Amino acid sequence: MKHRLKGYLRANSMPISALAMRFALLCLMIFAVPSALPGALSAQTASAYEVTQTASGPIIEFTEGDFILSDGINFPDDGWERLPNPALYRINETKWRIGDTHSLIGRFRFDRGAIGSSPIALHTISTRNNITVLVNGTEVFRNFAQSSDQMNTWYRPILIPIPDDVLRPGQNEIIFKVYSEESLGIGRVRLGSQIALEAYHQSKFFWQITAPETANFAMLFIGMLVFLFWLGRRQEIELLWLSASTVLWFLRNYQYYAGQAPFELSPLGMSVFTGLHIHASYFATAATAAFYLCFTKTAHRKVIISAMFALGIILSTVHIAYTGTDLILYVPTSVIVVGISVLGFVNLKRNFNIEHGVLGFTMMATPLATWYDLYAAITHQGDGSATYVSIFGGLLYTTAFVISFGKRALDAFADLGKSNVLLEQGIAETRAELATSEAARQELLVEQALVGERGRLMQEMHDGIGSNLITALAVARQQNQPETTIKTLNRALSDLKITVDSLEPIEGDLIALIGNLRHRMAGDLRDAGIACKWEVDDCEPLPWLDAANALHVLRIMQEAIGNVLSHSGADELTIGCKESTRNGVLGIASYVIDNGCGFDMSAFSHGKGLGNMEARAHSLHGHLKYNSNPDEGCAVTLWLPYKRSI
Amino acid sequence: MIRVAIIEDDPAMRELLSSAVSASDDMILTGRAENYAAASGMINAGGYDVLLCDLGLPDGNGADLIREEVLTGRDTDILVITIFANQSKVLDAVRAGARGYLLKDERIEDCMEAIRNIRSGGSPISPMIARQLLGEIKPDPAKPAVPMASPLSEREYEVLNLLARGFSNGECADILSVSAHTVGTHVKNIYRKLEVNSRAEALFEASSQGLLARK
Repeated sequence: MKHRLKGYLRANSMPISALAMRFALLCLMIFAVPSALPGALSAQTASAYEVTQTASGPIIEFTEGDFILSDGINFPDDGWERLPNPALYRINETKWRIGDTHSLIGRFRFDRGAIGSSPIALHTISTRNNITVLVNGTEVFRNFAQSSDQMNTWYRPILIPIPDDVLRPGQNEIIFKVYSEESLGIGRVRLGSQIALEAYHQSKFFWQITAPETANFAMLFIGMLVFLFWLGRRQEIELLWLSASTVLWFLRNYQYYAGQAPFELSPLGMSVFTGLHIHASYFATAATAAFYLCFTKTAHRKVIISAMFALGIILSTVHIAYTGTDLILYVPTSVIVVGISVLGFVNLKRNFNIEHGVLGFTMMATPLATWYDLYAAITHQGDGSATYVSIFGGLLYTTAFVISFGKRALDAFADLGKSNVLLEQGIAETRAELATSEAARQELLVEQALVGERGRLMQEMHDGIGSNLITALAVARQQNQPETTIKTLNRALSDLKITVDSLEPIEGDLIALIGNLRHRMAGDLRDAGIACKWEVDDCEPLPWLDAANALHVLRIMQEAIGNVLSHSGADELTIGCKESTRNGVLGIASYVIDNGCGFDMSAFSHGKGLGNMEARAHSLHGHLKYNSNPDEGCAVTLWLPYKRSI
Repeated sequence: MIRVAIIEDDPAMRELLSSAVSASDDMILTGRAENYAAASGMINAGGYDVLLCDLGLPDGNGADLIREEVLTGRDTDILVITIFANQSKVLDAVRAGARGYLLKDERIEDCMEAIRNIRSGGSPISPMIARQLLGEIKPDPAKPAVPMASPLSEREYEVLNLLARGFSNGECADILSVSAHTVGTHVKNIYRKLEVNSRAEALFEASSQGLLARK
């Protein structure tokens, strides 16, 4: 920065020797005051002035005047010296100490004809600090009530309406009596149409007093709010740094618009006033840097922040103890400003979003404001015509932070909303899972109960009725009981076996179920001399085929095969299963086809057996079909759907 | 001559089987037991080729007797005597070491035929048992934890599949162009593999539960 500044200054043809001095003084938009140059005394003659014509009349600006400089509050009549105006004695450029009062009296003469008709007003800026203005010996303005008031007017525009009756034809005289405990001087002095000067004054006053004051208080207010946020979120230390920096910036900026020193006790008032500006500049900048280091979570930030503040304390101590040049604070301040800017640039590149972007841009722009103010200070030499912009930096960056913070808060709210939705989803899912697992548990319980019950039934049938039937059958055979007895016992045992089979877990495998029936009846068919053919296609399982339904199926098929055995006189029987669609519904057709005598369907009466079969088929949600003609055998088909409509 | 021993608590059934065996020219009855205790002694003594064993004895479980017989290491064919040949009973017996079953209500000639079959290497099976076996012995890709000690051969798998789809031994033989006896032999081998696998599984379970010290 130093190098670039030098280049800049050289380009403006500043003498190198003056450059170092200027740089030292103007490093951070401190007010620049040009050295008062000696000029020849020319009393009793009109002062030199420049004339500007406006729509409402001419305005003259004095470029020279007659002056007497003295110590204390003292305005002698003698010893006038003609010098250029503004005539400014900046404390940094003199051997004066803050608190030593010096006085300056200035005299400006003009011809009434040079200015237009009334209303006439006098405008001055950067005339400091306690001011009394007399026109032709009549006091027209005083900015203090008593001589001990410590006024602050280095940046303050002042408009003084001049009553028409104090002016007189021909030569008129304006006297400025000013005194100050620090820098002293008479700034730009203009005279002429009040209308034109008023407009100029309003604009100046707004940008140099009203706006900085408003901005400064707004910034302090934001800082206070941020401090409250920090109380709620102690882990976010950048909030504390931000609020601390607003206090420091407030102190640093205070002297721009304050009309009076904050402390009355001389000489403390003015020295605190001036000192605040120099020291607070460094610490406010450091606090801003600390804030931004924390905000960007820069590595080693604790070390950097500690170093900045340790250095600040050392430099401030040295400055106060040895009344050294302000340079020892302004140069490190500038370094920190550049550091912040670089950090802003880096962070902006890394995080190109609203949250980091607004602050990144603001931080990057900080040196621009500094350089602009430096440029303004150099070109205007502290005559009050420059308007500085750095003073708005504090508000700008706290506002940027509020935007960033607000964005983050909005995002957080959005996330909260999302996470609520997710949470609700999670709860719904968990509830559904619970319901599913509860259903599965219930199913398992039912299944276990079924298995247990089935086992108990099986055991019961095996050990009880089964054993008894077996014994009875064996005894009947041994004793050569009538064939009908043996047959009845056999049929009872077959029925029992089929009941047992229906209880077997087969997971809806209809083919295995019917295959097993055919296996059971193989002996009987063989005895009856009937050859049995088995035909199966690939079929899907029937999900609804539980024990009760399996028993229905087995009973229907058993009845069909039994009918073949007892009535058909067939010598060949085909049993099979294949996929079949009925009324557009896919299912399995199980069939029993014999080549026996058959019967006339029209003369076919619904016997008890067939009625039972049909009732069973109906309760299976299936369909039973008989198809026969005399001498053409018989086909019984049981169609069952894969899915049962409710 | 096939030496046959019978364990059966029902006196009528015991008598029926005994007399049928004695009446057969190719069989000789070497022992009869009516309860667990007597059967245990008989197994210790040995001296038979085919053991017919009822499962529900008044003083114990027939399956334990089957295991006892298997532990002797003799080449005995074991048939369980059952009323229904329901799958859980039969397969439990097969896992213990049985190679087939007799139905109590079967005609006695068929029972004798079953004894001859088992001796010549053929086991009976029903479609439901085949179906259950298929599900059990087929490695489940969902739970690969238990290694199959004795997996089915491709042909055995084919046979089992056909049997589970309701085809009889004879029909399977026709489809596969082998003899019905060969199908029975496959079934017997499948039973043996189920026994081996279930024993391996039990060992695996035991060792994974730390019941057996690993050396």
